Amino acid sequence: MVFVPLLVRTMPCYVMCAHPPPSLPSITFPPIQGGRTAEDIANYMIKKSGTALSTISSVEEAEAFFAKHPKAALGMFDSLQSPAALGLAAYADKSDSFPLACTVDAAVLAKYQGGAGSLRFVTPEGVFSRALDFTEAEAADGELSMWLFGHSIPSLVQFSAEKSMELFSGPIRVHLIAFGDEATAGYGAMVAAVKEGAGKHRTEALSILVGKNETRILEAFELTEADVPKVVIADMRAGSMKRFFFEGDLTKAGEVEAFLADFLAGNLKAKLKSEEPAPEDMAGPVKVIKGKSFQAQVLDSDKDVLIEFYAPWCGHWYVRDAYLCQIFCMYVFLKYFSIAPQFIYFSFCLSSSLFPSLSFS
Amino acid sequence: MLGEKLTAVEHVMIAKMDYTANELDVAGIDIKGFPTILFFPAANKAEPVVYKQEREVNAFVAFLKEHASKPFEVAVDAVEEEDEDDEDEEKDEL
Repeated sequence: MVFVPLLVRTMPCYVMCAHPPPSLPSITFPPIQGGRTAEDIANYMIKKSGTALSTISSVEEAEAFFAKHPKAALGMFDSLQSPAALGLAAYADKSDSFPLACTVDAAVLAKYQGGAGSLRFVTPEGVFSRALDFTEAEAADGELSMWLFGHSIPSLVQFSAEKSMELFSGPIRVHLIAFGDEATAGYGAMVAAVKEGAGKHRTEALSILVGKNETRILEAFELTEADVPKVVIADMRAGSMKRFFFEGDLTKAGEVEAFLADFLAGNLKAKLKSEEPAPEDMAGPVKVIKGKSFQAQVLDSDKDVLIEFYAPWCGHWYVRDAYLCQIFCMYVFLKYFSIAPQFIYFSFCLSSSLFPSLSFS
Repeated sequence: MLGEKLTAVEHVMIAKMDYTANELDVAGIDIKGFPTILFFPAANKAEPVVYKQEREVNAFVAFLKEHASKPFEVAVDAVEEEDEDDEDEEKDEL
């Protein structure tokens, strides 16, 4: 179990998202519905070994609950049979991220000034409250997970290898990244603008500060140190990462917020990589399609088109055996990003033996 | 080889894209791993078909015959006659 965080920490995740690894089923994680930090796994074990949603019946118990857990949420209801209470119980069964409790004790509700059907989430940063509504069960569960996760970590996080585990294992798959460090001109103003502007959407997008020494992450956005300071959005909700670039004034919180709001509303176009199409592309028996020529040559053409999307580092000579290719690609991928080959071995061992043992029965 | 075999079939295009240097943001296209092979029927470009069969020339031809907008014929014996060395860039069967 100790090696699970190690394995993932070693992987530069934006880089990985920019170049999705071969689809090898064994590298996917088992269904622990939460993060992979020690704290997450401890929470997972605690929850799976007891009741997912503990019941609190007095103010003392509530205080003790919050004192014991640095990050914990308490649902306050008028009845345990109310739709919101049943919804939270169902959610608690599915989510392993934070200790959850519920209460119908009037004294507790009065003490925390929580209305019936509200949730009180206490973190080291502060106290956050919200109303619970599980009418649209699945969407509500996802939204609540993002709300809890978004409030559980600071509204602006400094990226580090240790932190990447927490950032990438959470349910928020949109990251607003501000590149820069102390030595960067205008750094303070940018940090303030991002914190204020993006903080308003913290349950939908994580705000992350990345130092310009993280050259691999810069490369994943096709940036160099000269481009810093820079604000970008990494959208990892779909399979591969989409990139969006902020072109406004880095010191204005309003502009950063508008950028993020526009993105969340789906108004922005991702910046796509493309090579320049050349006349010889269409000369051979196998046509070479590029990002910019795709629309004209594939979508707008009146032909049937069979097209292979490939990675140069995935050797074509192995294609005949897809499985071999996947292993080979994974090897090259890990090698390329300087991940020690023994981790490959780990990943196979983990997938075959260790991961199932993490499921609690 | 598949490409060469089908050069005479005008309405079918065999193509490739280096997806590490090019990206697409088109609904219905989700490239999660390499290689991914998609077939875009002439009549319905919005709904590509994921090719999941064997990556072998006859399997490709059979797939294309089944899905192509117009019927076509290819010479079956052409496979053995082809040069093996002129397609370094392509995978063996394409």
